[in-house]
Amino acid sequence: MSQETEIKHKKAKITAIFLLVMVVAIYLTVIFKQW
Amino acid sequence: MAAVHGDAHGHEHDDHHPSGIMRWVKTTNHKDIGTMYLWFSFTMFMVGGFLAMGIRAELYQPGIQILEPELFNQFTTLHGLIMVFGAIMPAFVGFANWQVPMMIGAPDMAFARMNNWSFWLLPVAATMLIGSFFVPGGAAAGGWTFYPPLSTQGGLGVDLMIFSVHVLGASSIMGSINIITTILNMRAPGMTLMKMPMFVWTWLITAYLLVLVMPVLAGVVTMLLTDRHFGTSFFNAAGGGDPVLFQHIFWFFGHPEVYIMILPAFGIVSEIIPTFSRKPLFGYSSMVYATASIAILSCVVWAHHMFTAGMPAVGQLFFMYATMLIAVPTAVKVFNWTATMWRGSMTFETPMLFSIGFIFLFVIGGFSGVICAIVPIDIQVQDTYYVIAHFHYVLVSGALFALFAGVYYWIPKWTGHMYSETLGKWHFWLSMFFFNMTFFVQHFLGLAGMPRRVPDYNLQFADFNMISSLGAFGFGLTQLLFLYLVIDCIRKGEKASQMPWDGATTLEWTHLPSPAPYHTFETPPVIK
Repeated sequence: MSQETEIKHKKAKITAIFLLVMVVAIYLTVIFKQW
Repeated sequence: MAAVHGDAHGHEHDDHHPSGIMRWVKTTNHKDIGTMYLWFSFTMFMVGGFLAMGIRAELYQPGIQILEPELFNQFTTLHGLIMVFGAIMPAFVGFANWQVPMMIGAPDMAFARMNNWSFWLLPVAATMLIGSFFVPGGAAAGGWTFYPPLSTQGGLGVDLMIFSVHVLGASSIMGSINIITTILNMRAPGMTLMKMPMFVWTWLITAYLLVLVMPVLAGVVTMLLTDRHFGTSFFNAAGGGDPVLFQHIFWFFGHPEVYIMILPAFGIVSEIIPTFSRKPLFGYSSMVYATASIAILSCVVWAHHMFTAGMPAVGQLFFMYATMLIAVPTAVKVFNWTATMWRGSMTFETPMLFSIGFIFLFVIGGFSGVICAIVPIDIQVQDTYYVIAHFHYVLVSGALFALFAGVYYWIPKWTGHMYSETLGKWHFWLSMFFFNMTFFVQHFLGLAGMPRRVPDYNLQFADFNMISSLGAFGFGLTQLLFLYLVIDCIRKGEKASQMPWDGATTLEWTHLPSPAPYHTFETPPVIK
């Protein structure tokens, strides 16, 4: 795998993890805000 | 669209693909998954349509004819849920799967295995939802918005609905994360954000909306579930909770959801109108900003669905004016589409007819939306057929017509065959006629006070209801013509050239043969 592809994969993973964390945070906030 | 040069045919080799049923079960190819999404959504459209026919058959004349009130309520509830979550949303995801990688010059979606998983969750959820008709007590019957206390009191059908909404939400979240990651990281060299086709832009913004609001829906149905089974009282007034809280949280998801269903439709129409006007899209950057503005505003207008639920006057005023404000970026879009057509060399093939039909009828739906946003009027028309007419003008002649336009536009690229233009035009004109016959008269019914979700009505509403039901049966039959047309196109259609539409400028037309090979853009094109 070229270095460029590796950097691309890493960037894609970081984007996805960031979005996933955002989803989980919103989900938990909605519930615990009303607890 | 920017000019393109460089290795245009990186897809030429390696066009083999697995065959048999396992090709579809295990596929990670964006085109296969897109195809499955589209067929799944059409199947759900038929199921939801069957329920609609049942509803309209019952309402054909006053009195109880064929559906007991309880079953009628289940039909209206499941019709809404299936059409929103099973038909319209997956259809747009199908378009995103097929088109986004090809339009940005990417070989596939960023997370191909997750893409497979996103799709295969759908049949599971749909089976639970449709299967809920056959459990003791029947399906959920409290409306597609499943407000408590009805939804906290229902039987097993409500639990199945809650699970299926959870699963559908998980599928949507995975799909949207995939789309955002693909668009942000896998564009061909030289394709900056402001050079992306409008369809890709609208999907990028839609995917962000999904990531923002789907967890909110998941949260509210989780709370519903714990209220039903684990002794919490989020929405139970007797336990210190508040049923109106549910409405606030639901509509914080629900209103952006409307735009999730319409923004990709704007994207499709924004591709088709320039092609058949043979002119670049007028005001590209203003289209992008208008789409983003609509998305942002859609998150601060939710309580206009709740004007009669009890709200301070200042709240009513805020939500009324904020809602009206959405008309501004929407008008920018309508102006730009019209300006694109202005003095263009227009031709009126079926995709263009559906796009113009979309603009014409969506504007009617938009205007009745502004009317509903006005508090004193909304208090009169709340829960009447006026609201039914309004949102069907937005979702049927809006989202669905744009989907039809998109299928006719891209089917030569997907299948390598042309559809029958004569049958396509018949499909358009019959849909146009029967759609208006079904829903235009519902404005009058609503203004006269006919309530929604009730299987019987006063004699004064009989004539318009008969017209509406006849129109609905015609509209339903017309969609069978569409099914025939698509199958006929796949099996016997005339061979399509690489660029059947001479005004098209996006990568899938300029760079790929028809049908698009199984693997495309393994070597990305370079965009100047």
